[in-house]
Amino acid sequence: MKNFDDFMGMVMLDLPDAERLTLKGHFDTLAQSFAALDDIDTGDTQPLVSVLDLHNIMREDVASKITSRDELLKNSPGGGGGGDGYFHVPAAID
Amino acid sequence: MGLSVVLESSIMQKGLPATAGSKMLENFIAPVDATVVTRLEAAGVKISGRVDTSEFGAAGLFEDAAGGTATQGDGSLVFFAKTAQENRPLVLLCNDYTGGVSRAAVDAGLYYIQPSYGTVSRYGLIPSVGSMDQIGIVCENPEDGFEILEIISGYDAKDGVMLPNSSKTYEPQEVSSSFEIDIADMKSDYSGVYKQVMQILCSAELSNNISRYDGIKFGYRAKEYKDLNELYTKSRTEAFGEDVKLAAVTGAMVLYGDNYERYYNKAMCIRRLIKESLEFGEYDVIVSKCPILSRLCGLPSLSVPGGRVYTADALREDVLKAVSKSVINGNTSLTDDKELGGKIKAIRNQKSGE
Amino acid sequence: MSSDKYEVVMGLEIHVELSTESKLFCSCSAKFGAEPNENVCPACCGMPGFPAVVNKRAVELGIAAGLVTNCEIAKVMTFDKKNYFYPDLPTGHQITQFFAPVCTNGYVELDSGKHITIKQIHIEEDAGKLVHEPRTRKTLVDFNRASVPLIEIVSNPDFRFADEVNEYLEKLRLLLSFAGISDCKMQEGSMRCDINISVREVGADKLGTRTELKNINSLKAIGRAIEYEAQRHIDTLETGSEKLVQETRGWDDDTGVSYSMREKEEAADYRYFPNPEILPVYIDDAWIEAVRNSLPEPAHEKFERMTARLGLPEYDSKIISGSQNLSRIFDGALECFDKAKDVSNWILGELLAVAKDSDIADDDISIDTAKFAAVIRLSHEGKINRTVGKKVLAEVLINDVDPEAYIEENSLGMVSDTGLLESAIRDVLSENEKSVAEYKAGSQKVFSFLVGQVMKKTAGKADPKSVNELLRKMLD
Repeated sequence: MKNFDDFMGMVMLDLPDAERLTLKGHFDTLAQSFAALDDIDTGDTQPLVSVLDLHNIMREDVASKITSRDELLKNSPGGGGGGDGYFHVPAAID
Repeated sequence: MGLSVVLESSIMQKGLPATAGSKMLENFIAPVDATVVTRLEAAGVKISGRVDTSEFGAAGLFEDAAGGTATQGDGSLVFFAKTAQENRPLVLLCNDYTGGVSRAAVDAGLYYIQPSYGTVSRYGLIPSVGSMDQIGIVCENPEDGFEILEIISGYDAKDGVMLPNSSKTYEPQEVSSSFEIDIADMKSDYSGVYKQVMQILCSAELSNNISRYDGIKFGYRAKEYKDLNELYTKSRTEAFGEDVKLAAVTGAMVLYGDNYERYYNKAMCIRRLIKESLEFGEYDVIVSKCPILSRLCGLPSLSVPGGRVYTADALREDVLKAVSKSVINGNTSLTDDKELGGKIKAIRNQKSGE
Repeated sequence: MSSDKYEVVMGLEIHVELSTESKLFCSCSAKFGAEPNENVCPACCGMPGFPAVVNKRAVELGIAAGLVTNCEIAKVMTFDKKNYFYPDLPTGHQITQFFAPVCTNGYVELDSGKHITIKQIHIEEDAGKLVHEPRTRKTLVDFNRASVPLIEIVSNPDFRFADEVNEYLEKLRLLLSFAGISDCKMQEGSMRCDINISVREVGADKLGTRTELKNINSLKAIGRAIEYEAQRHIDTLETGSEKLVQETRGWDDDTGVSYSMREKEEAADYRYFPNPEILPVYIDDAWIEAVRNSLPEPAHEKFERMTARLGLPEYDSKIISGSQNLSRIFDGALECFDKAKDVSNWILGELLAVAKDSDIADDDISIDTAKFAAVIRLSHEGKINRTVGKKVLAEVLINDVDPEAYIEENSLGMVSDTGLLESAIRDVLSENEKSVAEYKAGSQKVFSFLVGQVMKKTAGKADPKSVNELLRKMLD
């Protein structure tokens, strides 16, 4: 079974000790309060994913462009890598 | 027209920073206008400013969601009330899925209109909890609020969870000056777990919606990192606030392995039971102190000064408009602050002369 | 496999890119080959605020894939979120189908009659591409491929031999490309194959520890990879010194070894949950029928039709039905000129020859089938001879000329006027007295030479049959 630190790792967070302790305290309290759900018998009720009772919302297969590459790369912290058209990151291990 | 609005920082205006109150998006420049912005501008409504409410709207998620006050951090709503733009009435658009903003609004003597889910486009709204996000309206004068709602609402093909209805004008039903207040017996009462259901559903969805923030494509990137993993963890740890971090971790937990059935799936089932238990029948509106009922069920609601929340059936904003008129006309029974004891009450709307 | 004690058990997960114009959840072009990040919008590079709306054609191609593999099509299908972090995944999750995929329970029949059963087919979005630059210790990210629609075809662990894997892949490729679902080009990455492989003692019930093999880039590499990995499993079990780890391994075809990539995640780690922002898709019988009716005839049915109903030879039918392009040309031409044998002969004879002369591969032949049929008809009706026909066909293929106009402009009409032919023949005979003498002396060979000379004199336009008859008459 996974613990608080495992879940932190799953969401890519790494807290300094003091902050971690505080957050863990809140987390534990929440987890405990969630146990209240165990007492509720929902029978064969189906889960509700959306409150809307709609289906088959789809779009036609037509290509179109709304922004330019430059506009998108502008927001990139790496600065778009200096004009090669890529987003840049430190080496990923494949 | 004469109306002007202030936008929460989660609503995009092309070329301006859309921060959603987060350090993570400090420098994120919106590439487009949100649909609501396009509609407002087409109707001649002036957009006079942008403000932060809370980071991704998460403040209030981990407070007592069934009642009580939510903290709003910097008291931003009070700030607006004080700086109501150019002596014009205040109207603020924001995404209040926790109900925290509506609670702060009514504390400041303002109204909050939550539209029916699926009537206001989320295109250009920075998402928090997809199954509940809707752009709602803080206003000094509900008549202005409904006017703005009529402008911004209506079908948009760019949002995949919209009702097919186009925008309409809400004609309030005739309202008598006195309302009869009945105590209705609800079929079943899940109020004891509203808070947990909200926290489970919202944590999971918010945790997922913020996974796109990785310091790679846009947004905050840590200054120092030795490898990809540190790029992720440092950027996210440095840029997110406490509530958002708590939502992230909790969201991972409730979806993991067996927890999915025990927490997330259970919460979704209870959500359905809550929705099904709100049978309006001969009643037009439900009165409570609980704004999250409407978020859980996708129903429209009106929060009024004093703290009462009026929830109508889906697409029945006209009923809420009627209620708001009644409140303005001084029907004090509707703004009575008396403790409702956690139970839901219903109001039968009596037409005059009947 | 090199051991009789063990049997190899394999299952395949194949990712196939769907042939759509736009991406799965946004309107960016889904076409291959653009400059980096040209086919990208805020949605598919992970920016917030751009809701996903499903591409209807992708759903239809998913249904089509289920139809050609004998699957059950879901009445209700939904999309879910699969959570993990990687630079090629712009939103930190992949939208896929975990709870209710589009198809389940299908099969592909091998020549032996054995069915490789398909557990499910689901629709999902592709990830972007990473380019590693070890020199600068950077990774470059290109999101052109992000959110391109894929189907993942998951087989049950029914494979026992590499041959079966290859046959399955070949058959799938034919089925999917014929139905227009995907162009299935492994070299372009529109078809990617991962193999789950384990070994167990013959007769054992339980499956052994499995590893997943990725990065197999060609059909040829598959056999090599399977053999290596199976042997690696067997060796590890036999020596007993190490334990086999359930993991993902990459295949390096250059060195011929597999290498460990990462521990294989369990489903739990992905924290799947239903996507509340993409509403369910209901697939009714009417929609399934509409998709079924829109599908082109599959290769084996075309073969049946060509041989049984049109009476064409098996050899010819196999070649044409085995090529989606040639089939298309065949059907198109047949619509305009209904003599199947002629059409078939012209394709396998003149068309392929003309294409080869211009270095055009069979699959790349692009020709107006109405014009093609016109050439065949003109030849059949004796308006042009076969040699001229081939020349005109080349012009139609390369320059898209109108055959009748071209023949008119260049006076290529077949010469069958007896007077003209006799005159030409007289000229030839008088210019070739030596050959005439040889013919009279009994040589039949020289007859063809003389025919050739007549053809030359008429600039190739003479009706060969008439030339033959007249020449013989005039010689004798």
